[in-house]
Amino acid sequence: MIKCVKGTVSILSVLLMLFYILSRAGQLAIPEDFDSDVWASYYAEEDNTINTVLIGSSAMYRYWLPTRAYEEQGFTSALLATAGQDIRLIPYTMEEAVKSQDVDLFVVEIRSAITRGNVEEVGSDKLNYRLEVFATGMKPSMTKFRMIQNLYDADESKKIELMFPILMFHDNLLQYDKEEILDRMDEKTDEYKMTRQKSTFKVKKRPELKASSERYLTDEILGYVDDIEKKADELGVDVLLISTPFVANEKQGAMQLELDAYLDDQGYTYIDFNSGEDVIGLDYSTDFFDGRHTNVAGAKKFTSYMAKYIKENYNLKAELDGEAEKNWTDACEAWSLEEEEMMAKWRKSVEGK
Amino acid sequence: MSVISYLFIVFLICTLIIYYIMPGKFQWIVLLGASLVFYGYAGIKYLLLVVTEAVIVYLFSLRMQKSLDEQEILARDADRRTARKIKNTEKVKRKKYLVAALFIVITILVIFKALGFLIENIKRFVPIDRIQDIPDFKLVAPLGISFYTFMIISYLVDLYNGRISAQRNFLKYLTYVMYFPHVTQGPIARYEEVGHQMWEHHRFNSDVIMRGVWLIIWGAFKKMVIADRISAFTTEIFGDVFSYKGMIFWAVGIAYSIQIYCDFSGCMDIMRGASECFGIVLGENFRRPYFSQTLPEFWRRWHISLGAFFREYVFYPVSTSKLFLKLNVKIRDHIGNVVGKVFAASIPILCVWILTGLWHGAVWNYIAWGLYHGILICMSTLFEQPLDRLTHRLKIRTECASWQIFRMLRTFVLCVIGRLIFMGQGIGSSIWMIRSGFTDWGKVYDLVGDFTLAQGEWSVILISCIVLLAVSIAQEILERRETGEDIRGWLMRQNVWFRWLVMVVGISSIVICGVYGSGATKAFIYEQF
Repeated sequence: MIKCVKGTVSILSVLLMLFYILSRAGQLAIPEDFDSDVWASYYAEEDNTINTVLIGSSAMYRYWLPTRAYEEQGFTSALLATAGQDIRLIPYTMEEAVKSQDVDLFVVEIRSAITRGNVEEVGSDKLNYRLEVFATGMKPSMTKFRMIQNLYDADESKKIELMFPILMFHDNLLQYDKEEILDRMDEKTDEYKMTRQKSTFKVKKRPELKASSERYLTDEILGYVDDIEKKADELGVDVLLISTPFVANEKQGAMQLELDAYLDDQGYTYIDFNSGEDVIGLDYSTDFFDGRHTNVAGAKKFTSYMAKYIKENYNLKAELDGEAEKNWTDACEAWSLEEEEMMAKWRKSVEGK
Repeated sequence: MSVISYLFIVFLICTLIIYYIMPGKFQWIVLLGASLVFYGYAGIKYLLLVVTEAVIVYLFSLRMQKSLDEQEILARDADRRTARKIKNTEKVKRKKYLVAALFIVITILVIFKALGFLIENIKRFVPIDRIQDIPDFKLVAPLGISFYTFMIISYLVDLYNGRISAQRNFLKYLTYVMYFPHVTQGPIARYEEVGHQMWEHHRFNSDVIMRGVWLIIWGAFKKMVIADRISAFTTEIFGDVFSYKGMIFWAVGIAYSIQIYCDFSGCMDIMRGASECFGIVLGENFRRPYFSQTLPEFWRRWHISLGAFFREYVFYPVSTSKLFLKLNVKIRDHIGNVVGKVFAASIPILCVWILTGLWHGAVWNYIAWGLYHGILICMSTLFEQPLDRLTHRLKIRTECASWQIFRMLRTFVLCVIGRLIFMGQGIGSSIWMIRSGFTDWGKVYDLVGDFTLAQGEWSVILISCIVLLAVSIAQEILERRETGEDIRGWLMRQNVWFRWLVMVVGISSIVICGVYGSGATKAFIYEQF
């Protein structure tokens, strides 16, 4: 009996040790890519210091400046947004996000529902790739396991590799030099709190959205939105759905209105910045760097408006200890310098237009 | 199913669980089921072919067993002379069955492995229109055909000689032929070595499993960390030999020698380790061959089961056949006793080596490689005594380490030249590599800058080779002490945490430094033979 218990304990210890080593090595091996590093930056934030988590595609990280929201309204926020993020990933992201943070509010960018409506154009290979990029940085857990099992369209071997990134990216460890590995071992928060901005602009025009008689968004797609609400209920966290402003084409415009109608019908808390009047005060001729994203000037306006809205409606307040507070103050300073430089570039290009 | 895939790990764990849950007398059925699944995974049509071959051989083996039984009954009360007569009569009867069965299995082997080569070369050397019209012929050989065919041959010949009794239960016989740890790449296990182990009851024993797992990890390390990492370099050069010249061919020859050893012995260790987890011990196929001081010794340490097969079933039968003995006498009569003796001894050696080359595939390079080794072994036999006399006269201390290391290096260099013959894409490219390796010493390459492997990868190769060398030396020392203990035995005596630590370090090294996953080749070199 004692031998059996000893054997079981030693096997479990070994498995745990192996699991730890391989998980850590996996974090070091993942490709050096902003989207893959989203989770690393999130996990690096001190536990229970984030009030709001903003989830979605690039339509979130191009619009939101966490340091600005902190400075203006006094609450903290983190971005779990990656390029072309699939709407189906959002409930799993929410589930993972609350493991290390006592989140008060999820802000979910819902434009991905429209992308999903165009899934044939996006292509399942691309969706798979985007899921790979997003999932590699996630720590191995049951949440990640279910996400991969349910959403990753690949054979079992690939699923196992995505679950444990060391299996997929181990070769990188032989390519990185010592400094790169040491840098990766040093778990630190992102200097600018994961925002990604551009200082260029393109002249755009605010579109007028027109409804179509055709129905683009299927029940399946709308069901994904319901899943987000259900997950928020399950986790006991408020959720605010938003559609960030963009220059929609005719079909996208029709889908946007279709989505608005559905969400309104369901009674979900939702803001669409594309229909109705422009409450943010964006200048479409200078505040966008392409038809789908704002530049740094647009992001400033958007963040100021949204942060105020969140503060007024959810009454969030950062409760930070000394170290976490210093971390946010440093980020604010760093971003402020960067923003100044970007704004100068932006102004120069606008003036020279 | 590749033995270095996730699927194989799952397959092995599931099979082990079922195997140890099953009552002892049914355990072999689990092995049969697992073997059918394992082989069938490569293609049902090949599975059908192996099973059909097994049925045919099984039927012939029953006839041979009947003859053996009759011989025993008839000779029981007979006098010596009559008994010998009965024995001869029955042997003639059995020989018919043996020849028929051998004809079938060898024909199938030749069809799959050599027919394309034969047609191609007949067309090349016989300029007759009708022959030229024969279409080119290339069949994809079933997995491990060379290995299981040799196992079947050994079974038949041993049965013919009365060394074993035929297995009357067809399914048990099929389990022996198809046993998944040896069906694809050997070792070419003789029925008398493994048969009885398969039908025995094996109780679960964690120590046995641990020993097996260690061997699997060590094999996977050799295959995935060393062989597959080196492969990128060797493939690059062997794929385009005429673009390179000079010393690089020595480098690639050495690299390939390490690669093929780690690839093949790595596979053997994985298979033997898997088999040991079931309590079935398969024979060793490699005993650190690069520590050999002579080529004959090298071949007693490299692919041991194939060497033993050829010695047992080709060399001895040929050299003791009536025809050969007559030839031997005639040669001695014509060219004198001393030279005639050497010449006569060389014929069976060359036969064995040409066959060994052909066994790898009907390709001129393989035949030339076989011939090269055959000639070297004949020469080592021929010059053995004069060289011994010379070392004695020069007062060389043959027992000192430096002399032994010199002999090991000399044997290794001869092997490296053999590898260049083996790996050429035609005889011309082999000649180019060897000639250029000896003559164009001026050309220098940068191993990091001129080839695909990055510096980190070369470092992994170097460190792993040092580990391989250290483990091999340790094992060699243990074996020379003749204590009967191996490295795994030594590990088993250590503290439990140390044992687990070795396992964790082993697995982590493979996971972090191994070549696997998307884009990595999972094939073993000897799988194609």
